[in-house]
Amino acid sequence: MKNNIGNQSDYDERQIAARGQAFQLAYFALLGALLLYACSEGLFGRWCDAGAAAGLCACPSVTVFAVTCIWRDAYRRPNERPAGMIALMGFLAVVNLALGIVRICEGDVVQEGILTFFICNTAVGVMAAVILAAYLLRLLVLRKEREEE
Amino acid sequence: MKNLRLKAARAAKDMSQQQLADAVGVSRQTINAIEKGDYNPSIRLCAAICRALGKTLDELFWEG
Repeated sequence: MKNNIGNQSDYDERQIAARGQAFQLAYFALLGALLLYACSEGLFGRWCDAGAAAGLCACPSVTVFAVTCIWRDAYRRPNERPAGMIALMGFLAVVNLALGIVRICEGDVVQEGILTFFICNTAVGVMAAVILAAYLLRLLVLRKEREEE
Repeated sequence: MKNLRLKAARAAKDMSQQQLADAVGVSRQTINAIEKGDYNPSIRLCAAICRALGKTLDELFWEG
């Protein structure tokens, strides 16, 4: 029988459990965001289009999932290098924030008093920046922890 | 509760958490969480750790 219990390209058993809990939290975050959106629309009338609403509700949910996974060390598979993840999140943050600023400057984000789908660039940019910040912070904590080991 | 016996057995073999993690196919943080008592491993993972360290389940995980 082999010593190694898992494929290094898979998440290990603790990570799978942590990711399950993160999915649970993300699900409730999505429900909360949808409820908030429904209440705001009921109170203030239509203030954003369907695409913007979907994007604005999905982003907090994805952020909750990613940050929970990062904080519980379940975002990276064993032996997976962090550089790829940092590059991807950095790229997403920069491109979407730049596009978001362009959209805001061109006045595409609010049309006839309604928030449009173009707000999603800014939302995704902020989401990627938050995930990246959480990831870098976690790497610093892990490095410190490793030095103390 | 901290698993000091696991930490001691690993240190006796002169293995780092990363080396033990690589030997059993989990992340270093999982080994760290087991040693700190933050994660209760499955019997399969316990057995793999015991094999890697040349110890029995009783020696590392049984709290009599």
